[in-house]
Amino acid sequence: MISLVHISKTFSSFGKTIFINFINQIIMKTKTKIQKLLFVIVTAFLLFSCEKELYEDSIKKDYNGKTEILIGKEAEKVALRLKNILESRSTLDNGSLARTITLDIGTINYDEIVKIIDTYGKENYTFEIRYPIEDDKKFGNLILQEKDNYTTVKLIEYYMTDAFAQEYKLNYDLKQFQGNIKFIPIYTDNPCPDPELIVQIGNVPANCIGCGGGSNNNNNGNIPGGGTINPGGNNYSEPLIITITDGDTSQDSGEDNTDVPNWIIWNPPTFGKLSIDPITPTDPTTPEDPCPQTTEIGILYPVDKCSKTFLEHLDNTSRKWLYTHNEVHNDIMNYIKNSPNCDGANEFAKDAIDSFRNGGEVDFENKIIYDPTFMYTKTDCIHKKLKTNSNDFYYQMLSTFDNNTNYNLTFKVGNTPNGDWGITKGSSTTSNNYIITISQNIENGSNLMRTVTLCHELIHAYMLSTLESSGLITFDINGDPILNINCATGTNYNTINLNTLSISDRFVALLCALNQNGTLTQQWTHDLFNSANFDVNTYRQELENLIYNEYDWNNEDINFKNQAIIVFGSNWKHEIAKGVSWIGLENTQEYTTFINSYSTDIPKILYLTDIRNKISTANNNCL
Amino acid sequence: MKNTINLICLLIFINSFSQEQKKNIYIFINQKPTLQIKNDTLNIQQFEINFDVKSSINPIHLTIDKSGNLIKNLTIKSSSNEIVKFKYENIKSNNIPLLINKKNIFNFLIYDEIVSQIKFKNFMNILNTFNVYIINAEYNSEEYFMAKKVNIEKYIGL
Repeated sequence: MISLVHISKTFSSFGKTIFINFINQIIMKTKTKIQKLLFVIVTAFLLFSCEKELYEDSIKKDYNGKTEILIGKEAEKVALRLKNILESRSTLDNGSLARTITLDIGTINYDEIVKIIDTYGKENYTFEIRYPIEDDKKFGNLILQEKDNYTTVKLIEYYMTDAFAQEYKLNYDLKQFQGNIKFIPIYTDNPCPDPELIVQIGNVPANCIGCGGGSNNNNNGNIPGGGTINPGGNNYSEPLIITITDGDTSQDSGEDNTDVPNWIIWNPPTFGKLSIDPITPTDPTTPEDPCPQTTEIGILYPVDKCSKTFLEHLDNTSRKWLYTHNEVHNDIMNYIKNSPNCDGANEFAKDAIDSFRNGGEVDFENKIIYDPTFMYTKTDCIHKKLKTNSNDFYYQMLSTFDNNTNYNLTFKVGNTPNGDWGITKGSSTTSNNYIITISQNIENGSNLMRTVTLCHELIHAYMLSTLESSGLITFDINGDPILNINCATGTNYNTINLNTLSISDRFVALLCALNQNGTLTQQWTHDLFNSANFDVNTYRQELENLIYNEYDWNNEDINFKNQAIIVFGSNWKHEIAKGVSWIGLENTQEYTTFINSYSTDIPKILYLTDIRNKISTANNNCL
Repeated sequence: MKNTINLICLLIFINSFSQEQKKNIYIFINQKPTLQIKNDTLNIQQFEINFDVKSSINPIHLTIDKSGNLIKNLTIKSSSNEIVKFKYENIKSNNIPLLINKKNIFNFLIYDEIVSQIKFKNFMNILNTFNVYIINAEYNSEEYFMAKKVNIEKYIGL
């Protein structure tokens, strides 16, 4: 028993050793496996990460499982194939080795390509054609068809009727197309004939010109056009699918099929089918038709996405109003289409419609809305006079709100807080709208009061839009500006040469100098009037010059004029222009300096300190 | 009976008269006038209290730029135009300053507390119920203050 116990112990000890070694081996192997696994995971992760990065722009959108939108590198690959075909043709035609093909069609855009693989396995790629001269009633697609190493290139041109073109501009809806469709063969090495087609779109018959007819085995040398291949804008809608069939499964050339109904059936993936799809699923037991008479192609039809978004989000009342005011509609659509900022353009367009509906006006060139409260007022009259001279400061400031900027402007007449003569507000939303409200009291006041208020508020709008575009201010929910600047502590901002700085840096330097001098207060928007933001003049000086040059002094009220002459002498126009240019700036340090410079000339200083009341008696008829 | 009625009428008259009679309030302003026009027959001074000052500048946020230098980040709202102006006009001695004994001053406010602790609307509403006098530090003696009756002008913005 003892020996057994010993053996047992010995065995047990031996077994333990083996077991431990065995376990160690397993652990080691497991470790190695884990390490290997980790290595594989990390490598795979890195590879996939790289791949994702490399092909990030080759995104495919998939509609209904059979339609894809190719963009980025995927689109480039297909475009290259098309380019090679067209270039080989071009080389054949003119013997040159030109990298681009300049033919009559226009530009072939491969920013987005629609790919459809039809029931018979034929791959159809649709490219947008951009014509050199835009035509509201016509658009074209280039179709690249590939199957079994055979390639066909066709141009399809869609000609809308006048009535449909008008309707289409309103809603960008192609479902009820009316017009002609023209098929133009460009290239094929496919021995199969094209079918002769009668075309119907939706429920509306349409004419099809040149829709096949057989003898087009090789259309080389019969190209009506071509084009350069360029990446382009992204202004096309989700694709519709066009199904082309001659309704005959025979392999006839189609010449005898004129009495057989043939169809183009529009099958927009986002709106559901509009017509019966005649394609029956391919029966695997049926031998494949080598020359099938049916195919499906995508359509890229012109639609400005921003305009479409605008129309989709417009309330019914505004939409109905817009549809019955064609001129306004065209102006708004053109504005949106050409605007660089879609969100801002949509906001402005909505405000514009509201203004039009209420009797206001819109200057689309300068992106200015004239609120109905402003229209035909005396203030409006002064505004119209001030903006006539394109060399003047007023005109230049208005021009900054044109289509090249994100900002737009609204003029109103109404109540202002605390009886202020005028007020300018910004926007905390994406609308980027500046609203100038001129007080009703000023509307009832004199021309000089209206002039100085309009100019002063326009300077605010101009200055604030510059600060906003420089990222130096934001607006609170009330539209009041909030300045946010960084000032270096080791810089003496008072000695900086402003002329060497960008506009943004110049503003920062001016405001930091005020801070350094301990004079930066909530009056900073007015303090900036006295700063040399222009090459030579301050805003205040520009305002003085503007009023002196543009105000109608000759028709001024005789009593007002005489009193001014008594106080200021022959230089009265200049002194009044200077005096009124300081209105609104009375709380600035510079105003105190200005007014105290007259302290020895009692009549002048009394006049100038009371100038708001003095000019209320000036001429108030604006003709 | 008749005497009693006469007495009541007299009391009502006196009471109504006393309600219309505004009391004086004295504003102590250390700052020099922002505007001063003076000759032999004319003395015009303008004093100013700017309520925007106290709420104008938020606490400065300190940061360090890429070069390791100190940067002050300033966030400032624009003006709400909460400014009141006091205009003293003495033309041909029609509004000569008063000498007021310190003991007789009951209603008064000091510039610093107005700017830092009193709300603009509250201040304006209160002022409208008083005759307002400005006491400017540079003219005072030990027992008497020189007080100038002023008109209140609220700043109208643009």
